[in-house]
Amino acid sequence: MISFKMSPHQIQVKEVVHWFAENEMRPISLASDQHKRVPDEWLENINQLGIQLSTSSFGDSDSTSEESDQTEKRKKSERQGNRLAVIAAEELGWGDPAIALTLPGPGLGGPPVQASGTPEQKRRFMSIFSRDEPPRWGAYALTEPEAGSDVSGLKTTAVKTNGGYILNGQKVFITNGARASWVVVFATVDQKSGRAGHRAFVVEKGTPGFSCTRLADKMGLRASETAELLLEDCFVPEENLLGGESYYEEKSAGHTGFRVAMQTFDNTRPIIAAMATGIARAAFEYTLDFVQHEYPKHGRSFHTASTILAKAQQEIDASRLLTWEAAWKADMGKPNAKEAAMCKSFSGTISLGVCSRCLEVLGPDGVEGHLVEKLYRDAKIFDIFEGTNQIQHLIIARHLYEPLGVRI
Amino acid sequence: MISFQPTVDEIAFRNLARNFAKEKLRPLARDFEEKRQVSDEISRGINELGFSALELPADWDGLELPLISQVQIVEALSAGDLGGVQGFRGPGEAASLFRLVPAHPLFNKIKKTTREKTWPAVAFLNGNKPNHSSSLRLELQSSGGGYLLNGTSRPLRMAKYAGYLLVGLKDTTGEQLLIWLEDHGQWRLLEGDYRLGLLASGFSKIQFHDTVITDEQVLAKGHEAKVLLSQMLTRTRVLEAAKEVGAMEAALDHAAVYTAQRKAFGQEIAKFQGVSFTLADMSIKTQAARHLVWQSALKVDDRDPEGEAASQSALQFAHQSLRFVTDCAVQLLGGHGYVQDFPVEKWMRDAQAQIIFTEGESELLLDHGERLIVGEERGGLHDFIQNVAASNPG
Amino acid sequence: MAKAIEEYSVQETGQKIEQVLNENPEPIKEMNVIYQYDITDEDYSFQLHLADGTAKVSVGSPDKADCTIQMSFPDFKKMLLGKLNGTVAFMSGKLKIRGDIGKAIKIESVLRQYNVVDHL
Repeated sequence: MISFKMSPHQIQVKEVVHWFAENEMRPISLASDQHKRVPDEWLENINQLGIQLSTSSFGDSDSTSEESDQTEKRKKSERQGNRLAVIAAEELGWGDPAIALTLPGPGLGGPPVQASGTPEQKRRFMSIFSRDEPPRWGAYALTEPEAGSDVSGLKTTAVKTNGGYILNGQKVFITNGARASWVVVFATVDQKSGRAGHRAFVVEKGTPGFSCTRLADKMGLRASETAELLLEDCFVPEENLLGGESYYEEKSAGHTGFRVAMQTFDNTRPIIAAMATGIARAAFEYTLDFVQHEYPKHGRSFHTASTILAKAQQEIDASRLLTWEAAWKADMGKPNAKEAAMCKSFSGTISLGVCSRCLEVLGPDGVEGHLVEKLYRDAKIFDIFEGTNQIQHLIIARHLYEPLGVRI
Repeated sequence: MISFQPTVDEIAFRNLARNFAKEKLRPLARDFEEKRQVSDEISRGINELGFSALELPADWDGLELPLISQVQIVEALSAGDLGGVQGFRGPGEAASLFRLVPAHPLFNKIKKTTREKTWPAVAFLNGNKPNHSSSLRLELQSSGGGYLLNGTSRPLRMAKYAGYLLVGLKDTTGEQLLIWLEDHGQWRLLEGDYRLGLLASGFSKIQFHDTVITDEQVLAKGHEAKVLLSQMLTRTRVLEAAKEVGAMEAALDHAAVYTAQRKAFGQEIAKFQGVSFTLADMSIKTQAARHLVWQSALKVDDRDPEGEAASQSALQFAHQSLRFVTDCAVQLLGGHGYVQDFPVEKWMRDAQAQIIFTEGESELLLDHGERLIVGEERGGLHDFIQNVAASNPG
Repeated sequence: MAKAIEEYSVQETGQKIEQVLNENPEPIKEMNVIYQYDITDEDYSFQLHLADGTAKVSVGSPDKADCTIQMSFPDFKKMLLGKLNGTVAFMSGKLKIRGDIGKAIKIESVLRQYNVVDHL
């Protein structure tokens, strides 16, 4: 039956992650934005507590292989990893999205490794994130200077050689690209064959010919590291081709690097949408509190603030529910690409609007070294990364027209 | 546990509604609009299938379904034709009041009719919004008890066919009353020139001339009346919003089918992003509106104190989205969207009429917002007090 | 002859924790907290009082705990042995927290500093 009530476990996850967001993230939030960096000791501390950004943290795929066998057998109705992930992600977004993306762990590099890596690769790459050792990161490098939304325009080449591949190319806008111990890099073995030629490689830090050329300065999310990576005749051994040669040889299964890249979005988009919802909620709660304490409770400014705040809450609620639907479908094993695109599109749009209107209510005071102005700058990227709003529209439209026999 | 899975019963009822909407209601929609009336046959069909009994209490032989189930069914029906659904003869908004106080003696007569499966229409006059009833005047009579009612209402849905009238009005001392009228003779219809939409829904103004309201006709007074009225409006908001989602779904569907086969510049216009992106936006808004309706239904079913605010939020978003979706549907059909050979222009007109006769978007936001900030709805009265106080410091 | 931790009873585990903490009170020096552990499958609770650099374990729930942690005994043992990450245990529902969340997070990282395996 339809229910929007969280279970006790879901509530507990929300409460604990919120505690973390409020007590650990918020205190360093504005300073991190100013210095464009999350303090190293903070990261070491957090890592020791075992807190990591991993899409697989929620009981459905634990890191030990024996347990993941058990979870495979778990009944579909019991799986709630995606719902827990979006609940946690909303609180992390509420806390500070830039710091959230900087939490140690495999990050966006995790899903491709988990989904298409061999058991040996999974063990090798996922076991380095330990709380007994310094914090480490994984990363995901798909975007290039000339290929963003149009992934088929990938220009990074991978040429087969003795024992591996030689990679040449450039990647941009890579979160944690410089600090990552390994990066999942997408390259093409045959530019003429378009998507069929795409492959996913795990390139390890320190590999000769693999370097970070610069870190980008950004409008928002300033504390998060956004790197440009250069591959110059970079040799990547065979055992770092995700899934191995055999994975791509199974043409009938339709395995391509392109698929690897795209499939993860159906899981990560709701998480990103949840973070955007958290950003909007943070701005809204701050502004509501401000109005309750500072505004007169009558007259024109009161009416204006009432209208703005009511609209904000409504949009936040709708954003959350669209995200929950996408996550629920993923948990139920149902295809959720349309819903994932819907929640990503909606949340990206409204989070910016909510921040903007909250700034209107706060007035010029709200602009000075202030949480809500930072949130406004942080919010904009959610319309863009993980697939622009335009791409989300394309995906939704495709799903609407497919049953009518039109391919767009 | 978060879930979006309807029950087996809900799915079955929805399918029943969907079939009726598609096969019986949709084909006759234009006809009903022209005749300014939903046919008896369809009204009977609706009642036989149980759709009029969804909200009614069990001891009225009603189904007394939770709102979460009702909104799904009502949405499916409205996808047939919103104008038709709003023209069904039956208890209308009053059903929610029957649900709240099923044993009230004033309802004995109408209870008997619903049990006999004849469904008289009830019209509801909500006199509480300033621009809706400025000419109405309910005067408390100092001698002999009772009240005197004078004035003209705004156009009310189903007033043309109403056998019963539910009136929510404040008297001249400011006390809230809920009045139940069963006698035709107590009011006069003032027919009007309606052209916009919901033309089959029996809109008419109601006029009172020295109408005597006895104390026996007063259903509730003061605080009790306020509470009943607000609970009733909360439920009706949720159901109206659900109807609007159904109307959106119809427009979305129609626009998708049309643009998938209409060709221009050598290909189906669906292939142009101006068209496909608009369709995507329509579907996002419809889906979001649906979720907000479900959220409000669940909260009200749960007696959550946030239910009232959630109902205001859901209805406001539904209004806004309904305008957008029906407007886009006309736009996507181009010239065909504007002529009456296709259903979308009627849906756009019905949408705008729908939004007017229920609460307005701005006032819904204001009410909800005030509740957020100070925990209750204040309304403009508070401004008046503040202004007077400011100018009379003594 | 020393027993392996797998064979410890709940009571013995509690006593061992008290012993180990008092032998090396450095990590608990600044702490002034009462924790309660509800071992769900054994229907057994014990409290861990940390104050003035000492640890005291008492059976049941004699005092008002700042923070209550609920786990099954096998999961509790695994966590002490470092085989189960506290955060993972929490996220997968194996560990439930009631009360002060900050203190729950703190004790988990404090206990990890004592390599319990060494002591057994």
